[in-house]
Amino acid sequence: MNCYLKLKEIIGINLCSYAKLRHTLLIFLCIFYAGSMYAQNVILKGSVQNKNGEALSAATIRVKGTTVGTATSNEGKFTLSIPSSVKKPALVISMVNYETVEVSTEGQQDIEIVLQAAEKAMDEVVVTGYTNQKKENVTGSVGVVSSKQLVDVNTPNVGSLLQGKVAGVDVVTNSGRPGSSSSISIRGRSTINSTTAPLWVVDGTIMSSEPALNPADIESISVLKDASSAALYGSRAANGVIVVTTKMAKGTTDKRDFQVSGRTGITAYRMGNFRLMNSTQLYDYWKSFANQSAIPAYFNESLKQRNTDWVDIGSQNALSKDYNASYTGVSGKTRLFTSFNYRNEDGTVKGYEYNRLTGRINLDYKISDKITIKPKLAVAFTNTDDREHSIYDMFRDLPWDRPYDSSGKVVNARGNGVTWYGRDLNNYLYDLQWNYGKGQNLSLISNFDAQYDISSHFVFKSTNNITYLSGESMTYVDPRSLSGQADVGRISNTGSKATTRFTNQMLTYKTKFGDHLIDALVAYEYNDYKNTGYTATGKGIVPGVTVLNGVATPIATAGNITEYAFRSYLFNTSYSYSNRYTGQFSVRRDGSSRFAKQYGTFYSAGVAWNIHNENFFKVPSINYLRIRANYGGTGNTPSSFYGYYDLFSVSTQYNGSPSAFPTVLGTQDLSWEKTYSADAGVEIGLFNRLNITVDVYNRNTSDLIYSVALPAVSGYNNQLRNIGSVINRGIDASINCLIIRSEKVQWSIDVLFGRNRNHITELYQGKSQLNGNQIYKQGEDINTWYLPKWASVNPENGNPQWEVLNAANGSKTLTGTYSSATLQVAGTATPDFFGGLNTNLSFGGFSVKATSAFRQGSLVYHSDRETFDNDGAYPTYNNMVLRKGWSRWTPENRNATHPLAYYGGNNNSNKPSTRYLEDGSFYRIRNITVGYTLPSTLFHRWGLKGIGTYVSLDNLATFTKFSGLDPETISYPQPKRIIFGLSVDL
Amino acid sequence: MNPASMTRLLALCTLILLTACSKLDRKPFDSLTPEDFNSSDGSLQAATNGNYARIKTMALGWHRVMEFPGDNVSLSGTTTSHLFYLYNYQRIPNNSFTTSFWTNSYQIIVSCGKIIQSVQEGKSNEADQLLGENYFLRAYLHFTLVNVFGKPYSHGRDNLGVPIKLDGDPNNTPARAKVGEVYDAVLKDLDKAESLMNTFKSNIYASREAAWALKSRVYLYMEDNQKAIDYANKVINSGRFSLLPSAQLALYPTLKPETNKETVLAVKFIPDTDDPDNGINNIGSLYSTINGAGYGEMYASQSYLELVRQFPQDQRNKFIEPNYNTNSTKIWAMYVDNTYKWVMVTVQKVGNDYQNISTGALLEKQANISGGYDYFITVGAEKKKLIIEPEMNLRNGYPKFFITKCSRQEGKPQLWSPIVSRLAEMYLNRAEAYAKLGDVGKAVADVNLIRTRAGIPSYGLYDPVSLPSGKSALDIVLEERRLELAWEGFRKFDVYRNKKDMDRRYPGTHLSGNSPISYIKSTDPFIIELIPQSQILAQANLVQNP
Repeated sequence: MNCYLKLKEIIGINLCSYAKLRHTLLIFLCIFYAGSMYAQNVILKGSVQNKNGEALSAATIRVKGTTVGTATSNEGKFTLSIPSSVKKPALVISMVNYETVEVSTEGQQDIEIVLQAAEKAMDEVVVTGYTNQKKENVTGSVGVVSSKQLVDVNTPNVGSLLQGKVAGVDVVTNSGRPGSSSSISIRGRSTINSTTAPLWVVDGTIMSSEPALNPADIESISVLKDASSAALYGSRAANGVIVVTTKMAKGTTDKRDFQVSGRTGITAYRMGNFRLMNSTQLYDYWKSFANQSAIPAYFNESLKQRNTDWVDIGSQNALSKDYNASYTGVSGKTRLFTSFNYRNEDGTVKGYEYNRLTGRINLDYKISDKITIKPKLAVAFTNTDDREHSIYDMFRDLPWDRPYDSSGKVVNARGNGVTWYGRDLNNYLYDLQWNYGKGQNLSLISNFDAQYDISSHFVFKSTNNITYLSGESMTYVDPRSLSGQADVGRISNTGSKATTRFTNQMLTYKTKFGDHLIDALVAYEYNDYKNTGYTATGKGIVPGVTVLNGVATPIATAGNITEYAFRSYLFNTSYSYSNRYTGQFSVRRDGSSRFAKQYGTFYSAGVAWNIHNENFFKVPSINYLRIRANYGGTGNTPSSFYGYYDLFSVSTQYNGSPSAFPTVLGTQDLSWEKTYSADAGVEIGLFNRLNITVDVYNRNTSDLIYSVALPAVSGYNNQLRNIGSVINRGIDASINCLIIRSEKVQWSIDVLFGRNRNHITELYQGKSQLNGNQIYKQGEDINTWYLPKWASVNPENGNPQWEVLNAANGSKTLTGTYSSATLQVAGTATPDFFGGLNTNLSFGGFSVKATSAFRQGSLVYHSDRETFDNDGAYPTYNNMVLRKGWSRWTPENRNATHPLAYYGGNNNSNKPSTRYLEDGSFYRIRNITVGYTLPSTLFHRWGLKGIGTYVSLDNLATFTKFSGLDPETISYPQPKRIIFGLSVDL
Repeated sequence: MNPASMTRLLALCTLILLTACSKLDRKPFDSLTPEDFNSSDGSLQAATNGNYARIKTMALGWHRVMEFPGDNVSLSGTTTSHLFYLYNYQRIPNNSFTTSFWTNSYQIIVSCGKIIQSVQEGKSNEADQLLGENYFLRAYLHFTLVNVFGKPYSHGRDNLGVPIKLDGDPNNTPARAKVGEVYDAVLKDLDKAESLMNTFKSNIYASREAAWALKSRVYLYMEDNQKAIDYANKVINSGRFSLLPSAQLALYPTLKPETNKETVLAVKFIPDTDDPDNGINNIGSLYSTINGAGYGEMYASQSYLELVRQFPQDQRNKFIEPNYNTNSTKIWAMYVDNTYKWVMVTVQKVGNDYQNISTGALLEKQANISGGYDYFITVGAEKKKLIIEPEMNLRNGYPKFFITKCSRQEGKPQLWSPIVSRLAEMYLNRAEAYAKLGDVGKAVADVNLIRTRAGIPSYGLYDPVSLPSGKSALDIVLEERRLELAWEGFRKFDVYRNKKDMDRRYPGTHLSGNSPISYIKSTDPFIIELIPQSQILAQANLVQNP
């Protein structure tokens, strides 16, 4: 909150000078008085007015930390009795459309308060990576998430926290395993082969991958969605840019704030809509097989006596803990933010433990008036212990198999004389008694930044970073386990070290004369990356030995190094006239080691018009109205570092002698994927309550890089080529509405919405490219399914049917032979729209925050059904229970969804087809947090500044038709959590 | 430090940063560019090694496309792996094994072609030998491809074969040639290989002898019988190879290939490096579980068991290891019922008899040629021959008759160097050719030589003048080829090129599911694999098989 204090003249002591620093335009008045304490209740009188001297009625006044309060009269006057127990009384004055202020009343009896109209949203400063701009001058589309909005679900992964928070940003969580990451796509997919992940920038440094950050350290995140905002990142910005700013102490007055918080809770495994058969259901299913004679002789009714619930064995309610301490302080020339976080979470699938320690020091030290050095250090140390039960085994193992013998010992399914019905003769619990894996990752992000304020116009900024990521893992295979028997145990170590060096030297220029405001920057940037990896395996160990020194024989080693480098020159300028018109232009020249022709240039230009600042525009109910438009280019590099070389791989051997084999057919003229995007946006604020931003865009990507499948007779599997173009068009919108904004109750709702349509406009020689069960085809969406079309069950005999398309005349017939079925375009995995719906309600000391996310119209291929809904093809796997509305063919039920089951399957009915393509739409209540801030009267005698508690529920409910575990993660479902938290301000 | 000097220092730092790290070029570390590679010593040797190494990469597909459609194997469960569709003849166009076999084969063929194009003949003996090896590999792979994806040569020269790729040009993508044309190209390459190769390095590298051995097979498949005999003779008479003695036959797969005098050419797998994860992805893994290593899901077929068990002395019985329940003392008499399922009857031994424990009846017995007895049980009206074994471990009701012919090299559970040619095949090629030429005496002599080596006593040998009733000399040869060359990738080709039928009416999951295929005629379209779908899509001029 920005404020500016003006002291009543009679007091005449120093103002809160820190407020000045906050470069704000706001003014209000407050009074300080260093008086003595009173023994009895103090009667305080006062008045409230706006800066024009008009009395404000119905403003609420509350004594801070108490329930004592009142409201102003029609004349703007009030009278309050402050209890004597309140040590350093302060008033909180609030009113609709005005900034809430806090005023100390110590020793006063009469007080005059001036309220400032609420800060205009337009004055907010937006971090756009290389620049910070007032929102009023931004020409691009930038989504901003504050620290408060960011933190909801209990996850260490920052990307996951962005789900449903920014319009047009589609976040899908990859797994429910503790610590797992998310896939983020911003405004659709504009690449086939290269990464779809956005570029991460932390405090001015480009990261090589999503950084390991403590979410509590983040001040804000800006998502740069269009060319105008992202083009300065050039060849790597085509997927958008996520700019993270970490916390720092603010102001210049000495102060300190120490905060500790802790949360702990329970996470629970969810099965979603997926249900497995129990013993009797499976028995009845086998009884329904059409070829009873093919069933092995052991099948009889006594099997029903054996009913193992494998999911119950493998899943659990797990514990989750998170402790955080942070210190923010200003002292003389130094500003400091430092924090420490410890997090521990067990998986809801048993046997996986995730631990993370993070620490951060952000320091600003003013060497002189002009020079500030800004070192930063962030450390994250993660370790995992993996004895995870197998989800796949939990599902496929038969309820008829018993994992433990009568004495409770784990059964070896392959042991002599053991009866085991499951096909793979594998009791996964057996090896799990001994075998495990451990992993640890260290991430060091270190910055040695400096700023030199050359003059009032010129500033030189130097950003220099070394990021070091090391990953180590080991697996231990015990000699007693089945997989360790032959080798007499095995130990394997894997390690990788990635070092990223980044430097940016930037000169900025800023001037303001009359109505003219000019900003400019020019910079040089260099960035390189080197990753060294190795793996070593040895065999022959005494049980319990965990290092390679203890192995009898080394059996395998491998190691490799990969590198890339970028060099860039960039320039950006913007010009604003009279806070009404803004123009912006940027250019970046990028060189990359991944191409033969290394350099490319990326431009962008944008304009914005603040209509509300025009003299002719006088609509009181509209706080602001601006329109903006921009156009520019960004790029994407191939995921292969060396795609333009012809290469012989030397990583194989024959009879222990070195060998070489031609593996890569290089493409000399391989070039960037180029995305040219146009964006137009409208921002409007109404009644000081409703803020709406709507953007439409058109992103045209050409020179798509694809690993084109070559005929094997060419000698190669594929070759990287620039093969085509894709267009993404869409709209994203955010609506923020303050429904109630009174002193006692505040309630707001945010709606974020994105819709993206996509189609491939051009492919090399018009040739479609196959990608698993999907196809890249001219005119089609980039995520288009390509599968045989399931034509349901033949009512005559209960056999499966698929469509055959006669290419000549387009006529359709049905076939019962899977291999004759025609592969056809069958919908897309791209959602129709997606977004979030979030709300905040606070009243008194209570707050309720709810975040939810939705994704509509995405088709998901439910591959698990090939295995668990297979009409007998894998009879010795457990099967899923048919959902409501599904039915199996019988002579009496001829219009069934499921074919007649056979022991051994019914004519490949479970092979990939549109049969398993499902609606993956969902609406997920991500998080509900109910918090309570304790009144300060309860604890201020201990010198505490504040205590807050909360209860938080993650993934409370997911509404979806998807028949599997989780429409996002598909396999390891996101858990439900209930978390209790406490935070203390010291 | 005063601000002025600080400024100077900052400026200096900036200058250093701007000028440092000036190069943008990056090259890979685990790969070489053609310039770097060709200029290095031994590049020809390394590139040739690369081709052998690639065969190892595709060994699983290579072995499975040849072996699993035969009648020596029985799968004990359904599986998600595409090996299922090689095994049960329910072909799918995107089979990962046919795809791997096709793509790797052609990549090796092109790599050979590049070497052949770039290396001049006659520069040195060493280079000529390596050049010859590349000609050989190219011939072998074209030959195997045409047999997997094209109909047998004996069904007609003009059927669709596979593309003949002789150059290294990535843009030249030839269409499928006719079967006859592919055979011609194979022979041409083998001629060249034969003339260039001049050194026998060891039997893990191609040699002139390996070229002769392959020629013997090619001519046999072409039914150019005299030439098949001639080239078999060249190998036999080269003096380099000898059949392992009977007593050592069972150790065949366990020997390091170079020390095995019978092997003409094998693709060598070395311990540890080539059997990572206990060799779980090696050929033998599906056939047996040894010390916990191996899936052990595919067993010897019941029809093969019956054949090889005619003579208990036959050493080839030792390539099948029944997996016993060592906790049990029970004895099982096993037969296959009319639905081709195993039925186990618990019996006890009483002298030379076995008594059915549940009925108390003695099993019917009949003296056999080996001086022992065969035992029978009458089920309904049918008399069934019994296999008598101690109680075995089962998988899905299938007794685990582990196949160990592809395991245990150098004591490693699932290490094995797949064999391209061995001397026994030469005798059997010759036998088949003689039989087809009508020289029953010589044909039977070769068969008897193989049988004798296998340890079959003299009363188990054939008499050329009185062959078993209903059997021709060719039948006997084919039966012996089946016995001797089982699980080495011959059976499917031997059956269909001789226009015989494949009888798979024995237990195995090829019979489960709706519409199983249990009996295949050589005229059925599905005796050859479908061209991989990914190739059809990538190469417009490829025509799919019916």
